[in-house]
Amino acid sequence: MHATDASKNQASGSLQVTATLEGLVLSRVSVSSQDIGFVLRGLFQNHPDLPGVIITLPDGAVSGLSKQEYFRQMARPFGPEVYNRRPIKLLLDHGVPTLSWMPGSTQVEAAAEEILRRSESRRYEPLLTNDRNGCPGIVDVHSILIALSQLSSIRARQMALILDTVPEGFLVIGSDRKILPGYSLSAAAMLGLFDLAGMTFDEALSNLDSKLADRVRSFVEILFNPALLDRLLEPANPVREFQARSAHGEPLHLAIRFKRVREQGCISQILVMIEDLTLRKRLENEATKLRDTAQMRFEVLTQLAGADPHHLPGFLDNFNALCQRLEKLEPGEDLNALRRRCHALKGEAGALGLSSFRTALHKAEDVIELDAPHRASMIGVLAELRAAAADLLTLARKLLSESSDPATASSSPSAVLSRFQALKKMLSLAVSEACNLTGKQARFELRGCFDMMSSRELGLLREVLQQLVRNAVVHGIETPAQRVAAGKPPEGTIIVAAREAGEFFEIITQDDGAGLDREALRNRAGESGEEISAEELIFIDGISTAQTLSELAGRGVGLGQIRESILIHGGTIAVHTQPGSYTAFQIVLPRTNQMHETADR
Amino acid sequence: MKLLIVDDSQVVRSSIERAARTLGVDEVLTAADGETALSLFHTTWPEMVTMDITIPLLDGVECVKRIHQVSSRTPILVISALNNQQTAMKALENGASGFLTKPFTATEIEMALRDLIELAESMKK
Repeated sequence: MHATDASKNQASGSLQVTATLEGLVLSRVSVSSQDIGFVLRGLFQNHPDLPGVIITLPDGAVSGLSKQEYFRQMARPFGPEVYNRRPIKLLLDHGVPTLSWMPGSTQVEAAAEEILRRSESRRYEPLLTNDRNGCPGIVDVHSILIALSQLSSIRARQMALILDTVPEGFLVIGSDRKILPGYSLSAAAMLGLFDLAGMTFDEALSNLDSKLADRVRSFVEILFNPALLDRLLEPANPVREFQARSAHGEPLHLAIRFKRVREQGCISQILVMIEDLTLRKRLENEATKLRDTAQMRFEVLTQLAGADPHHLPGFLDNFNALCQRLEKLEPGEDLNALRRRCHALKGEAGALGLSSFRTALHKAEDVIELDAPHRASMIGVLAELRAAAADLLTLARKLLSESSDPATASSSPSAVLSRFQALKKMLSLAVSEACNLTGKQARFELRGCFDMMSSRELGLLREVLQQLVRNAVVHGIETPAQRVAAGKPPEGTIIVAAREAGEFFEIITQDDGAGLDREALRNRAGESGEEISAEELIFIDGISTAQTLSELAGRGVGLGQIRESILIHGGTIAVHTQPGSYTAFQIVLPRTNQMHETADR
Repeated sequence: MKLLIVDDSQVVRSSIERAARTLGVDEVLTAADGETALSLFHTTWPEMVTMDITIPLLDGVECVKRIHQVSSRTPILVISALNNQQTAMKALENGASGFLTKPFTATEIEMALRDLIELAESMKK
């Protein structure tokens, strides 16, 4: 009999989540509608576990009769007398209820739902179905229900597996404000708890921050109010993003979102999603810090480039000495004397135009007599400046020796030296040409190791620098009248300096003009520019701060194209600016190797 | 549909009004302080309200509370520059239906008003 085979199949647990009726067929016993009633009696008496039989009609159609229905008919007065000796067909002709049919591809859940919709008296009637070959079979209701319960336990196991492994913190708050048992393990881990079920969400949070938990309790109450607008509740979310400390004292950065589930006009549940931002925030902070350091170093560099090279080394030595004194502050040290030294050095920094140093020393002067923690943070700032200065002092010394007399630099072959001079001549010409056209006054200086560059690098830089110095006159340097009004000398200064930095050349073009007008750039960029910094905007062709597109700046190539050609050469360009005092472009180019260079010639 | 806009800034009032008109609100009333807002509410019975928090004479949370006491089915959208959750929560606990922070973009106010109108319509039934 098929019955035993099928039940074994279920017991072995090979049931799939996608199980269908076809796999649950219990019996394929069939009779012909032309057989006499005795055949049915014999079958049902000899096989008590047979739920029903398939009846095949002469035209090939199929019907089915349950055992229960058969005995119900037999129990009627004269039932056996009427049916036993006549063809089974008579039962069908008399309108005895036959089995309902469902396709073999019906999912177990759907079949179960269908069964639940039946009337009480016929609920346990077996089903007639077919396999994919069209072969009929009978499925018993109990095996459907058993399969259903097996499926739901498989589903529950799968759900548990998912909840245990997803990295997202996920939990559900029921209408009694308690957390339901199905929450993700990550949610418990983020909140530093073993079991969340049955707790209120604020209790779970109070582990991290008790004050916040109070606010969360009020917020959850608000969320359960169905009259409030979903989208407009978010600003009130007290845990949209917050910092806390874990049970082990580690910093934790979490973001929590709430989603309301509406059922019949009520809020029945609230889904809570917790995201752990700790790692992301840490990386972000590190990146910001790195960028700030780079920015600071760059400012120091440009300030040094603008400072009088003859006084720089002396200033930096004094600065170093002061920093050392501050770092090894001894009890009983004359703080007042140190403060006076800071003040004097601040004056020197101001005279040299070293604004980062001036600002840092100004702060140092203020906090030097305060408590130790204040001093510690101040010393941190000074130490960073000192580290930046140490690197740059080397450069300052180099600039000093090179700018004093480039012709005596013994290491430079004369052919390359003439390139330096040719570049200087060309750029000076570009500056004075631009000055003549705009009525501005500017002094031009070229410094550094252009003599070490290959013709490839110089070829690129000739184009780029020519445009940058022209821009410096047109956009950067103010008119003599404006400069005098701003307390600057009428003549502006444009400096182009280069240095080698390992495998790179670093070239800086700086003017002591008005700086970039961030406001104007933003306005020109319109709304689309909101996400982009002003320093980025100027590289977008078509966005310019010049009130009228002057003939000069319009000629040649835009900054966007300049950047593109530098990027093609594997380099980078960045702009740094201080409104009212300078604009500087920093170009970093990879060095081409010497082999390449000789081939070039 | 009748909307009462309470805000002490003329600019904010007119930008909310503009957004409301585009959404088909045909009657708009405005008040620049809390007392005017309440007396206007009691005489005109608008179907919905937008409420600034920092307004003269009677603060917004108090206004929300009083309106909610007499007409709990009138949805109130609180619009405030005070971007802190406590204020938002206080307004919501006192009967506001939603919270929007200032400054808002045209899209934000439009979306918020659309929700408010929907809510007011569902309250009428």
